Amino acid sequence: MGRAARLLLASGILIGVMAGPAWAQQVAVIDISQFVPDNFVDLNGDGVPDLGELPPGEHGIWDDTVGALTEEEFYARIPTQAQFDIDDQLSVMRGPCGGVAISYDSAGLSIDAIVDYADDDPTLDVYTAEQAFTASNPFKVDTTGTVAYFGFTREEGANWSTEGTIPGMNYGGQPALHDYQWTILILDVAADFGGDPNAMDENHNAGLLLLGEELPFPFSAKLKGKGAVIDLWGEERLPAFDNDTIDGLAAGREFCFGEGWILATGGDSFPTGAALSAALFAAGFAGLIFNARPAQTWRG
Amino acid sequence: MADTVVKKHPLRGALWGSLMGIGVALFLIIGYPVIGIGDPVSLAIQVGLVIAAGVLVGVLWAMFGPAKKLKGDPPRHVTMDEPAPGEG
Repeated sequence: MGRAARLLLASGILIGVMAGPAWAQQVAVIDISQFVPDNFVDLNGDGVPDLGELPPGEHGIWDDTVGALTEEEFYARIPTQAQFDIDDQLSVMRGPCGGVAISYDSAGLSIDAIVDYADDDPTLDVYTAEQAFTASNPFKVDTTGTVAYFGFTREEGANWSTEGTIPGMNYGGQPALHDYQWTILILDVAADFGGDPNAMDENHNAGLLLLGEELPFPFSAKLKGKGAVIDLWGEERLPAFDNDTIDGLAAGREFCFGEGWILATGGDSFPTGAALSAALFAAGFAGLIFNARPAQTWRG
Repeated sequence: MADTVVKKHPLRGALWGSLMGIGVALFLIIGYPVIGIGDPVSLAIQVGLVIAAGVLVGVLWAMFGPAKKLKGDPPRHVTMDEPAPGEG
């Protein structure tokens, strides 16, 4: 095989490995349009509505809207690996909470979507109708893009409170989350938390996570995340929890808990990690070719 | 005509192969994530396997790769009896 043919073959294999997954666009098998506003229109033909306008939401009274201001605060938020059961390759979703999350690239086109009907079934991948958030089928997010979420709480069979305990607060009296606290932990990357008395008895919510604006730089990594919301917790922040301890922590109060895998990609940009790994690979490859190859020499 | 031998460099192959393996491992963690960031022991095992594969490739290349061919003429053996260049 000539040198040019070998170069062509190597290039073809490289392109096939890198670009193949991008070309194999999937089409949704679950219709999630009932959860999504009408101005979210499917532009890329994958059956999932693409990014539209969402009216600005309102923060919960106890939401963390500032973030870490000092290095110490930032590191205090990073969860330790001991809080995660990394060996568990599956995902967990418990409690009467459901919703849809759609992941968009920087152009606002959908790249992944999941749905949970707040039933006994696991969270499903909208494109395959199989269990989502697993290690083999993680929820894909673009670190230069956006994630839109539409969540709700189910009333049937649930034990939501009808009012909170804050003196002077005029609760609506309907079953919903009240005086609740929520926390989201993503391994070694982020931690966010918040809560609200929810005096209006709201049972659904929607919002956008502007990853491209909130993350300092694009990166790629496969990470485990988890989150929980507990009814009637009050304004104190939730302590550390996992699937084994959340029941005891809730102590009879209604709660929702989820844990699963997330695949963050760097979008169209060339992430720093990929550049560094490519440089190391190229150095090693060049060393093998030019410095470690057997060589003929004259005897003696 | 002078004889030739093939000189091999397995240690160099192992070193360059390990560097290549580190690059591949890093790529599989943060470039095109296949290896999940999780339990340090599990992560170390997976990264170690990738680097070991790189070392193996490097050593195999150094031992059995196509040898670089000689360029130029064989060296002349200069003896004491032979006049130095430029001498009568």
